[in-house]
Amino acid sequence: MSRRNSELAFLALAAVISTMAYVSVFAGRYHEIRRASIVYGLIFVAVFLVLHLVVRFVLPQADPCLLPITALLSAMGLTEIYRIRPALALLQGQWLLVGAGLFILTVLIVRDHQRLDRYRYVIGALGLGLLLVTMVVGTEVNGARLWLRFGGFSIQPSEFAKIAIVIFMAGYLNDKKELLSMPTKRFLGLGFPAPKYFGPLVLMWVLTLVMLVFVKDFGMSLLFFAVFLAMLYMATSRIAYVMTGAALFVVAGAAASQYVAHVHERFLIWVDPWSRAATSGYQLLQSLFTIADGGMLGAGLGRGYLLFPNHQPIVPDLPTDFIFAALANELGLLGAVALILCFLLFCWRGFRIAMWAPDGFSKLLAAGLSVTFGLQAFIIIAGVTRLIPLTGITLPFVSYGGSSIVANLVMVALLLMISHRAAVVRGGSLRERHELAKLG
Amino acid sequence: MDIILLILKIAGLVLLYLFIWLIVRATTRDVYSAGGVEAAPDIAMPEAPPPPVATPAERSQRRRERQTERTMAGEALDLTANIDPRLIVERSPVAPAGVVFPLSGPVTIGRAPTSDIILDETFVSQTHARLILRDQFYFVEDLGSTNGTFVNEKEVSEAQLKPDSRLRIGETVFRYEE
Repeated sequence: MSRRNSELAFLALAAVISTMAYVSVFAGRYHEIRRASIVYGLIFVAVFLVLHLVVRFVLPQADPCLLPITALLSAMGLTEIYRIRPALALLQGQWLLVGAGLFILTVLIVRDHQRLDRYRYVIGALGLGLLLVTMVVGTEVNGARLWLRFGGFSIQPSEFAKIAIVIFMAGYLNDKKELLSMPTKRFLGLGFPAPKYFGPLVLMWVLTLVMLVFVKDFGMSLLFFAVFLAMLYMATSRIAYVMTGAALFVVAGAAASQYVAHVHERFLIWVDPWSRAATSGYQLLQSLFTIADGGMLGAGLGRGYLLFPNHQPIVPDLPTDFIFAALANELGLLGAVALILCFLLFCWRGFRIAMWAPDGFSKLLAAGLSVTFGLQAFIIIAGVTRLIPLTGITLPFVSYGGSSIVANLVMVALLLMISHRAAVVRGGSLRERHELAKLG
Repeated sequence: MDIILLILKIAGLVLLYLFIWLIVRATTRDVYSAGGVEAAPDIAMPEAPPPPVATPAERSQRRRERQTERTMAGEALDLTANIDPRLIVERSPVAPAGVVFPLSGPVTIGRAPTSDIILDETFVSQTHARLILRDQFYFVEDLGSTNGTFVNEKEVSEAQLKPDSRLRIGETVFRYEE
């Protein structure tokens, strides 16, 4: 079976699962199966069918699994958001359409991700600029200033900045990887690479972290920190840099949890939510109870106890940060594990694309994007289940959040482009090679 | 109604795991098939000619022959006429091992496209070093490179190349032969 036909088969299966989920939620809410629920499912399927066709004609050799996984995850998210707050689901559906549009634009305009390497400094500056703009004119929601408001809607620029910064780092690290893997200076018994080459990287890193911490976007700063170290390790294969970075993180984290009130509170909630059950620990405890309530098989979509009788969600941020708790409640342990497996599969495919890619930039970009995706899912799922202190960040494709779903769709488009190029370079038809050469 | 929803729930979970299993199967199959196929290199490297092999015995034999020719012809004025100086790549990230660069006159080595021997490596300067001929001997001269020029792993600013000297520039090692 060709790559595109297997993609279509996987998408069909994902469509069946999502339609069943919609039907279940509708039945749970209205105690009867309505024709409308099928229509919602079909609209969703149509969006991904269009994306499939675009990929079929423009990137025929691209990876066949990423798009179906994306479809399944966003269908699960959309269904659960619909189940919690139908009005939000409508908005999320619109954002999904915007994301699909941007996906198509990315594929058609960029065509070959290698072009991005040429503009890496511009793209890096753009990423920093996005963060800077939020810092200066951002709108504050829940004590964190992460949003930019335009008329009726708001966007979260850090979601887009994360892609820009991964592109920049992939280009820069690929260019300087030999120089960076040779320590020339020794300081405190540790080898550091030449400041001329290491400097810009550290500067970028410090700037993003300072800006993110300043706007209190702790989830994103944790993500940026980890992605930076992971990419540095992948480019230089020097574990010493990771160790140094991790040690720095422990020191900075310990200091922050002692002296920064906001972080201190998060830390205390993590250690002991029960003593703060009525105040700051309430969210996390409700989330833990919700997950536990799901049991092995869950209550079934649409039938879990997620809303109070007055229709308020039992965890305040249920559709965004705590969506995993809601899904774990209704799908049970088995469903929650399946969800985590889907994230793992996405990363596995991403790393495989990186292994197949013929050049350093593609490898670092594919691996960097996969790491970003996987770590983002890890940070929020681990936070919601109290494995690590909770830091608010979206669960990719699943959480309610327009910027998140749009940015992550662009990320999928980039991964598909990288996999297409890798397959063509390694044995595509003459016509495909020719087309690729024309783009360069 | 409840029984339908229960069936829906179980069927949904079963299909979810079917989806995961199919993707895992597709991925492992890809990995296995990828193992058998050797990746085609990005740009086809020209097939390297076998490095000229000469045992010391053969070399002295050749020298003796030259000597005989010289004495027989009765002319020994042009000393360079009888040597065949060349650099042979021993290992390099940018050129296949065994490539031979015949030397004649001054030769520049560097990353610049105008160099006689172009080494497009990170640790090679634009104009890194040059080889100059004095009488019949080749000398290597470092042109203020960032990462140095090494003869037999000793950093040099200028040094004579003797047969079998190892000249290292960046990560490329040449063997000098005459």
